[in-house]
Amino acid sequence: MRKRYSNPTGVHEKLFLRSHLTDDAILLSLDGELSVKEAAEVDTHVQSCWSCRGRKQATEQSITDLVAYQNAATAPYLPPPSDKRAVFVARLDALATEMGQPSRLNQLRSGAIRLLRLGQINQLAWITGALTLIALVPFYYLLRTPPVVSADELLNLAAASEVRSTKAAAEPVVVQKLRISLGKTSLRRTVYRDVAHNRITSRTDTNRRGEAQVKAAYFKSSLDWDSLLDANTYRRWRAAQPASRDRVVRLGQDELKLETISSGGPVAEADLTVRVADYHAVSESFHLQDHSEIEIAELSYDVIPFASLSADIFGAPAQIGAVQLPVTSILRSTLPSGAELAEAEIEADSVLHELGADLGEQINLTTHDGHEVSIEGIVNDDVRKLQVVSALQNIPHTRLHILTIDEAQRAPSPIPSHVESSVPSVEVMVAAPPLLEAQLSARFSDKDQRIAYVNQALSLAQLASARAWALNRLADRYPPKGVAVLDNEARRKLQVLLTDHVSALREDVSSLQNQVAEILPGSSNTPAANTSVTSPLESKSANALELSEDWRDRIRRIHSSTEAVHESVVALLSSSQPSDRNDANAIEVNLRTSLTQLQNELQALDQKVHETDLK
Amino acid sequence: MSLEYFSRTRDTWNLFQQGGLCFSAPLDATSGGVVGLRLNVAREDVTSRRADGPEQRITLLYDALRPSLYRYLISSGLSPQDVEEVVQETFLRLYRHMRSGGDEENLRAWIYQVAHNLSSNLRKSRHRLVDTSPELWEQLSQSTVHSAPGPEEQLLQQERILRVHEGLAKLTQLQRDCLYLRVEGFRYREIGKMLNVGTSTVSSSLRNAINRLTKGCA
Repeated sequence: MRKRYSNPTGVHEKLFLRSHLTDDAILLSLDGELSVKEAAEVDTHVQSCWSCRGRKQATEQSITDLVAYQNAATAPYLPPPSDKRAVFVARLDALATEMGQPSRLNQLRSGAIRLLRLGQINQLAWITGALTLIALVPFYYLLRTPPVVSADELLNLAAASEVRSTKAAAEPVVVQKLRISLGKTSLRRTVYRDVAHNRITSRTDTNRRGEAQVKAAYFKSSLDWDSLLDANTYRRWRAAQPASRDRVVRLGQDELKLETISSGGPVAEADLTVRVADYHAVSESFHLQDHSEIEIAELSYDVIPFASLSADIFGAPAQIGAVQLPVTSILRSTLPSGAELAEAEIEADSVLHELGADLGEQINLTTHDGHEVSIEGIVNDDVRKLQVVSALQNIPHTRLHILTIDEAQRAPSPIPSHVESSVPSVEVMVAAPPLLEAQLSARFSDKDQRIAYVNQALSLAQLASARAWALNRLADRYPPKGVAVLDNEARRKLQVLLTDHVSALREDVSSLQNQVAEILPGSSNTPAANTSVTSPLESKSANALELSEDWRDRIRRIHSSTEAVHESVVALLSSSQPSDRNDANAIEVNLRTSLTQLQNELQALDQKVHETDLK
Repeated sequence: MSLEYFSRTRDTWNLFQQGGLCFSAPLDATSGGVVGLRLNVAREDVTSRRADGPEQRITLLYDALRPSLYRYLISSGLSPQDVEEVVQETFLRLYRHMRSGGDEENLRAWIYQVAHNLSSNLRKSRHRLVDTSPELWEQLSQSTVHSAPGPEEQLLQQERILRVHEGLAKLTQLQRDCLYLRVEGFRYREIGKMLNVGTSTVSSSLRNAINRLTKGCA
């Protein structure tokens, strides 16, 4: 089923504003982007509210008009000229010749994919397939030959196989890569076992977010998180069961599977699969009492000499030989590297962005003592705290300290002091009439309309300011040195964060420009208006600058321009300082110029963060 | 009208999937309309090639998607010459993608994304803004003269189209991209992926764009 777009806020808040549908709700409903429940709520409301029904119809009419416009504008070019098709076929043939024949493997692969499309197999093929399957059932039972070994024999043979495999290297260290799956969560782990000193260490290679979840399932099931996939681990688990029954079955010609049914304990059933050729364990699974299943599959198995590894992989070198640890002891890996910390930080940034918590909410990220990312902050209430904490808690190498406002007041903490100073907010000004009071009254005779207009303009300016602030924070927190340690995935995440903020800020500035244009004609965002301020000379030098300029500097300029725009909008539309009275014209001109320049700056930044590799 | 348009786009896609992935199945019985005809024509043209070869798949995809891709690219401000170049380059890249064993899930979205990126680069290199020339307006007026039944309806329709025309000129490039990709029947998530922005940005862009058009059309 398609996953619908949903907002983290409550359903009702998202759909309604002052007992009417929001514009968002109307469009999302028309576009089929709401959940079933939300769509039903919208439909019920539209049936009873004429005002919202009218707005919905107006939106539909706009869509219809847009499609009619597009059809009319493109009609002369459609259908596409047929003579170009031959050119394309010739170019394709030339490319095919240049690339040569596809490999046999690729042909087989694409053929198999096509066959898997069930809809493409005709009825006759289906019937033939089904009959063949029925005919093969007796053969299947014939192939299920009685177990060739008992459960204990199988485990002994598997354990002996592991011992044999470690004979090849001096001071052998077993390096086993595993894929561990729990429901939809899947992660990769590498486990290192120093055979001579019985020491184990491990690390999770991918999907760190799911690690805590899988780890919790391990602990709940009394399974050893830092163990290898091997016969000894399985034997220890089996011995710990109060009562169990075993069965060994053959899987095809190459594998044997030991199934163990436990009559007590958190694991209901487990199995271990070994290769017939060398009795090497390749996979195991644990079916838990709560019907979930942990599946572990071996991706690779190597035995390497200890000397080829970093000396401190199992802890401080001085401890080697001095400490004899039991097989099941857990040794944590060393402190996270700078790259791992940076990765955790960008992950936390992405999660906060998804929650909309990076737009002025008092949450601050700092790298603490070089070994963990500290996430501290104050949120409005318990619901928001739960939302933020549950989203962040699975990120490794982080320390969370999130308080609600009530908690912070009860136990004063040093957290907010440094956050508060940098958060954008509407400053409380001395109450004085707005500079454009006369224009506002002339444009909106109705007081409610005037208030609605001013509120919308102010909220747009404030939102733009919050976004610019969020961008500025990213620019400060990711200097060239910080970006250099990020891997490709983390860089991509940072790029998505930047492009998302820039796109949204462009939207906000554009909307604000249109809003302001209603009472200040000539400041709209039409191409003509955009070009009126920038002279050709300026544009040329700006282009030259674009190529070399660091994205962070551009963001800082955009941040200060957005702040200036915010202040100008407040002064012109909401309340002004007495000192502003004489400068009304200057503020007005400044606002127009700043908005246009902001658009140009943002366009250049958008291009830069979209197209270049971040540095 | 718009809903009919969207469903027609989806039908095209369904037919395209049938035609694109099973070349031995008889298409004529199931594929009606323009797309079915196009696929049949394409099959005759490529009989000399291997029946299930990637070249034939690309040619079929080219025939099935070219008209809608044309409409999208013309709307986004490219000249007809540039459009044909972008379309051909897109399908040649698709061929390389398929030959290198690339992911074939949702090829239609893949094609639009590549075409969008190519057209964005071209637009930037041409410094081309949205076409607002008097010729275009003349052409729009003519098309409404032919389609509307009476003089009064013609006038009304012309007014509407003029307002959309003016409204579109005030939108940002992102808003226009979102609108035209939505017209092509893509979901918000798909559009976000194509334009490298979040789903919420797509949603707010579409909302602001439609609000602007609605204000202009009121």
